[in-house]
Amino acid sequence: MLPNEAELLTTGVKSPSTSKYVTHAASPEEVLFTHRSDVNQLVSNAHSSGDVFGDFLQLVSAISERQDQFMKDAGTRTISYERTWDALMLEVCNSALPDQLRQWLSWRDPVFSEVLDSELPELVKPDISANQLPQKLSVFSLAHISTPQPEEEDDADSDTSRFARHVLSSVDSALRFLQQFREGCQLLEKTHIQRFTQSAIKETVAETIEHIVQSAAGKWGTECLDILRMSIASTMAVFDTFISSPSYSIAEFSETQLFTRFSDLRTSELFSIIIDYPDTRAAISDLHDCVKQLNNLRSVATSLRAAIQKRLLHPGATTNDILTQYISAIRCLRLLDPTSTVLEIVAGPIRGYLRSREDTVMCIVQDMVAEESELFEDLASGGIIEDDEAGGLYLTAQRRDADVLSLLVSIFDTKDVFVEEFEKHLAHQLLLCADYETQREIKQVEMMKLRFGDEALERCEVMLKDLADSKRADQYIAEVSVHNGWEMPMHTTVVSRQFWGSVPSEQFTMPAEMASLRDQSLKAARKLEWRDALGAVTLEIGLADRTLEVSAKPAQAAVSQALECSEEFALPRIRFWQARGVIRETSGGVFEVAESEAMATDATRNADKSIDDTAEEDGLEEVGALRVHFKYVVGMLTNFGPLPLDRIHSMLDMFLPGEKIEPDELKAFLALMVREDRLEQTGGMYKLK
Amino acid sequence: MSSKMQTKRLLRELTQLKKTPCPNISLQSTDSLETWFVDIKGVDNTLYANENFTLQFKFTREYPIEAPEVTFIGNVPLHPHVYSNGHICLSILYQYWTPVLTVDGICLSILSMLSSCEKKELPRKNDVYIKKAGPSPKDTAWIFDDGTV
Amino acid sequence: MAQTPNQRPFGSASSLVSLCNIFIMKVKIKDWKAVAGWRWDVPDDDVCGICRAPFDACCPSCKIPGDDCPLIWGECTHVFHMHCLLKWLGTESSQQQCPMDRRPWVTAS
Repeated sequence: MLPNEAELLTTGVKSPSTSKYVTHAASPEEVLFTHRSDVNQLVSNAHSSGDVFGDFLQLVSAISERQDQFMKDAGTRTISYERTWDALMLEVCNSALPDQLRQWLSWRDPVFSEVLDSELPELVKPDISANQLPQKLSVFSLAHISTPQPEEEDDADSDTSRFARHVLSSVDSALRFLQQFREGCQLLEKTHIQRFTQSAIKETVAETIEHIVQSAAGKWGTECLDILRMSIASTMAVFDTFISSPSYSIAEFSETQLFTRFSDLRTSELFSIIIDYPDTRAAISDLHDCVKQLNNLRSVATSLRAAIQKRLLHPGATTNDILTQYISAIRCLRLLDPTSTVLEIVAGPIRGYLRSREDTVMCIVQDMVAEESELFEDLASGGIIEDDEAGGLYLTAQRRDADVLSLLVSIFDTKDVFVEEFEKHLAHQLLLCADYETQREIKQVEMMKLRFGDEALERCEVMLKDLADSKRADQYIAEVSVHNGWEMPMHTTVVSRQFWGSVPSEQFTMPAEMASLRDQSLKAARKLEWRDALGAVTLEIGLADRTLEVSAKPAQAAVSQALECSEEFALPRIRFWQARGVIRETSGGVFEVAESEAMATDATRNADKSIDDTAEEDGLEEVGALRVHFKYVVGMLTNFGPLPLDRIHSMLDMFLPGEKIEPDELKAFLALMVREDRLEQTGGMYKLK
Repeated sequence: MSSKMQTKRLLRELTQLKKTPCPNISLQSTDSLETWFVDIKGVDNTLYANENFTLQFKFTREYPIEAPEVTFIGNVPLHPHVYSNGHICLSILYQYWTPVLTVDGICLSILSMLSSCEKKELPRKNDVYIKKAGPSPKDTAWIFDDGTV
Repeated sequence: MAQTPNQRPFGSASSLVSLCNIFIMKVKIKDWKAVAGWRWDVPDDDVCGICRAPFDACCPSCKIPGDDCPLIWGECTHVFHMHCLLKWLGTESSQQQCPMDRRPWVTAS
């Protein structure tokens, strides 16, 4: 106890009849003002001691003293003292007490707190008298402390005995705490300031609960609600025993607080919980309990919608991410709300956004035909999308039993877009399939028919029939070839143009050798148009010391036989062969067949790997295309030493008549070579590394 | 299934009309595929310049094997081959129908019929005709004696 | 393929030509998976005057194009989906005339 506090207390007690604070001439306002500052001073002084609970008890008794004094001072001045005191106390309690209570609540040894949490409610039951407490606690602590005994001097510093000593001292402080706590509570009751402290206590309780609830943040794999509830119940039981009145229950308040705070926590985490769904089923179940209790589903959904709009519906998220999150969100919301009444709050913006994305349909269809996917299972289950107006379709899909696929299909006003996308997919698959085997595709089309109707899949039926016809023709040709001893490497897929969507076309002249081979297979009554951008050619290349078998696109194969085609067409395809070690570039732009293995190694090393199939498909980058001429650059730098850009440019012009290279393009290319550590640039001059 | 033929062909015509509209011809929004309303505008420098008329097309299940029923509704042009009840005396709509004719083709024929008119007058025996004619002009036994229509 | 003016024949780059000449001797096609589209012998993208669907698609009554839904040529050189034309000729009002020129229909042999 601090001296000034003791003095204040003594002074207060000593002169109960004549106030030392208030003169008889003072106005009611002055009385109030004096007492207010007096109480405030008490509160602020109470902070300065280390003994938190002792401070609190003193504060309470001091305030209680002041109350008597105030009554006397005020009573003689015919003001409504009760009301004034109430106002004063409310003010003081709200500003200062929470701080006190917080310290009071947070006082607990961390090691001991776990034990205390479970035992405290038992220990502070009203029917246990204060002098029974020490005994109870001793028994209790002994039961919790195992050997070794503290008297074993050798092990005095061992972890176990340190722990035991720690617990003992904790028991000691707990004991002190409990006794004081009881006193404090009785005092609170006696002095009737309890009613003023309620809002402060509430705030503190709420804060404590928030603290406990926060310990469950991110723990989505287990159901936390019951654990939290028990933990909070044991903490709050202490308050409840002493502070509750018939009209006011801390337990009830803390229960509501728990639900509110926990619901807020999980709601704020809901977006991430949905990402990890179904591993987070427990968290959803917890939230469901909260929602049932608080009836706040709508605000949970609104908050989720805001999170989704902020974190998901932006250009940075892939359409697949959005779809996955949408599906999970629907699942979670259905768990939270089996009637699906608030689904639209969340689903609306996602559906709108997905509608605006160009690749949504493609993503859904890709997923739908991937055999391990959930959508594939939906498709295989044969659910039928009702042929309804757009609105009706959506309402149907919103129903709880609607499968995810229907839900996704209903994003769009018409299911035709899905059939069209499926057609594209099917065309692609069928053209890839080299052996005319279409079992998987037939199954897919059958499943699609169940869901989208036979009529919608008619075009796909034509594709399948084209494949079947091509297979039959191919078998026939093979039989005839074998019979006549012809070599017939051609296997042709003949498609019905109008039913395969846009088949890519590539214009180049087939080398005569290849063309004649190809045209041997032409036996149909109808005209055939070759689609040389498609298909694959397997070539056997005989070289001096080895034979290579290479699978190439028709265009790449054509270059191996080409006599006449544009350089623009040939160069990227020559790279294809270079990368496979078939040809090599000897010096600047001169190619030769890599007859021996050693030459081939050289060839592949020099071939730029970045110019492979992919580069060819994407179209060559301007700058990269100049790699072809890098040998020239190396040659001139070897012969002439370091050169500036314009010299290199004019010399290239000389070496490569007809090749129009822009200075900027060359500059960019040389910069690339510098980055790749092949050249060095100093003071505008380029030189070899 | 001729109704399938009708649907597919009408859809194609609809797409075509929307994609490449013909001058002086515009399609009103159609509620059903079986009944269309097409606005036509009299060609400049003719008796019907700047006049607007509406044609009603009714397609049977057998379209285009069978001719559509085409009549003027509302403002009926005063023309020697157009009766005041909207019926049009035009051979291609009846005996000389062929399935290669299309909606815009019919409209063009009617526009050219209007354009070639030299005097705005009612057909002969208009009163007699409209008294005995049924609701559909296709029920009338048309006689095309002058070969020009 | 007709060469466009800006496409220099590959042959003019002498070094590359020699490559191709060497190359051609050593390459054997083992296997060729080719893709072709079939089409009727009619002008590109032409449609049947009766159903207005492309000739290479089928008539509205059919599902599979090609041999199952053939074309029919008249001596007047006009061509239709066979099923479409037969439907027309089957009506009394057709008077067995070609829908295009209203001359008596005679199927080309």
